[in-house]
Amino acid sequence: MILFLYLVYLLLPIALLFLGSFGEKWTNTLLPQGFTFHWYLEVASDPSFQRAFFVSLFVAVATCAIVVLIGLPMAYGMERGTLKRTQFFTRLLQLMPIAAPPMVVAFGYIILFSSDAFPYLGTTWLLVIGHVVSTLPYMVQTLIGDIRHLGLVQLEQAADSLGASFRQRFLHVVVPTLRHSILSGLFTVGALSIGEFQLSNLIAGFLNRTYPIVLLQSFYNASGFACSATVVLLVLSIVASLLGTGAPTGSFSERKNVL
Amino acid sequence: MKIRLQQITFTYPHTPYGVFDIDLEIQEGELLAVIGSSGSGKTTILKLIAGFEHPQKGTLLLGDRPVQDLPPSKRNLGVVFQSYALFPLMTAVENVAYPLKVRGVPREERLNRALEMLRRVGLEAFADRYPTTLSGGQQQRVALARALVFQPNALLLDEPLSALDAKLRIEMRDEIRNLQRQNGITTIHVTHDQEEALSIADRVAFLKDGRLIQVDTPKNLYDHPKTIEVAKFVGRSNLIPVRVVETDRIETPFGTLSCSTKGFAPGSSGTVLIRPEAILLYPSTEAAQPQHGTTVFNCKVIRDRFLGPVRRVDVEVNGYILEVETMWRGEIGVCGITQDSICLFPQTE
Repeated sequence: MILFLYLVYLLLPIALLFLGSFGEKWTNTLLPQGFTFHWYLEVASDPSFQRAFFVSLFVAVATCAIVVLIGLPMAYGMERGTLKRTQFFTRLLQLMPIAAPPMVVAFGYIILFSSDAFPYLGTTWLLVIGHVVSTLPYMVQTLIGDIRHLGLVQLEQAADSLGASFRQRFLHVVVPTLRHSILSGLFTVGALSIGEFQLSNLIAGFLNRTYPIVLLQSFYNASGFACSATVVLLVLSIVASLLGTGAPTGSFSERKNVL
Repeated sequence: MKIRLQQITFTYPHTPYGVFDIDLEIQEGELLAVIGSSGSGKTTILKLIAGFEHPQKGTLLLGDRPVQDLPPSKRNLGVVFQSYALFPLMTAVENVAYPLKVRGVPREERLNRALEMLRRVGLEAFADRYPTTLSGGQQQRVALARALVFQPNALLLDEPLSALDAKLRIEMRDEIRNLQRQNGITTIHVTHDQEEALSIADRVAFLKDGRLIQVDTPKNLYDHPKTIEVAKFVGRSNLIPVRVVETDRIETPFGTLSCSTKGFAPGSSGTVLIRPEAILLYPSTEAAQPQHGTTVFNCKVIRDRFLGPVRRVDVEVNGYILEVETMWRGEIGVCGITQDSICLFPQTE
């Protein structure tokens, strides 16, 4: 019963957004009236939305790429490192998103990167770096969990004893074994990056505003336009997170040609 | 290949645990079992030899080559892990072929050699199965095949049988021994199961708190344990506090016994070990006909456990309880202790 109420509470606004995006008119009524696709067409043809859409996509993809490149060696190193230090860093990573919310990070960036020494505020790459910092813990957590769960350290020791070099162990054992975790971590990171507002709102420049920021502006205009723009974002992040949770970790049914 | 550990010392960072001053020599083709309770350092010794840990002190020789600073991949040793550590995304044959793959053996040849190795462990029919679809015993065989296929310098087994059920464990014991003999490969087998160690090893090393206490043949370790700890760990034992009364005569809580007291002054105290199966049981004093050196006592059965091949009986002798193992199925009224079956240790605790 409680779950049901919770789901209604959670899904009702989303359903209304969805309805609103197809409604012709929505003023002073419970539900919108009429049916039209033209809000979507309008969103698609709006130059600032077009730009924001591609900025968001670029930032998300770049964030994913960097997060994997940093997160995999980091998680792997932390699991292999000595016990004491590992625990400290794991704890730190767990706490980071809570202890240092994006807004705090953003203010730090504003102070640091508006100086003459680092005049990078408003650049897309700074945006990417901000997203990397805030999403990395999710990737590392996912990886560490699976490294433990799948007994990767011992698998790697086995490969080591069988004569495999570091590169061979990494390519033949570590990456294939963790491929599901990497994938699921990536989709989570992608979804988070696409929906990220707090940090981006503060550090994005005028020409590289991400989709959620431009979206906020649209709520000052016609409601149907705002709804359809929101639905686009919603679909993007839902697809990413579904892919993330749908990627089965630790399932070995698929055959990978490693031999 | 011969393995020598010379004055090896290793402690885990930030802990007092590790192994200390280990001197050990394993001959070519020998099977050495390393036993000890958990935390005694037996797995640490294996890790040091395999190269997963590096000693702070001492020399480790494979053949005549010092290897203590080499990584595992350069030592050419076959390791079988307790959890088998089979690669989950590779089939059985791919797992076995993996060490050949990293050595650059061409695909055709390595698959053939892997299949041949699987055949030797009786698993050629399972070559294309993934590890998760194999039983524990089968995974164990794949792990063994993988550790042997590249003709390693030695085989290191870390509690390889502990995850199997009792019956399979005994079967696999013999299989490991056979494979080891066929390959003539130097093997170190770490186990907490003393029976497993006694049954397959050429020699057994007993470790306590990171130190080697005794390295001996299974028979000597059992019959002539160097310390009380060894006696306690290996097999069952009656350990009885005693006092040396005079030369070759000791006083126990249940009466005096004859036994060699060489090295003990009259009046000193100690502990004797009497193995349960060394105590003889008879229905009555007339039936006993004790030989020279056997002391006979009247006894009363307190507990009687029938185990099939043997009977494990607790008997009370003048108020003291002794554990006895016997094939005798009749009545019990008298027990006899021969002087040859008694080991005397200095008082420690």
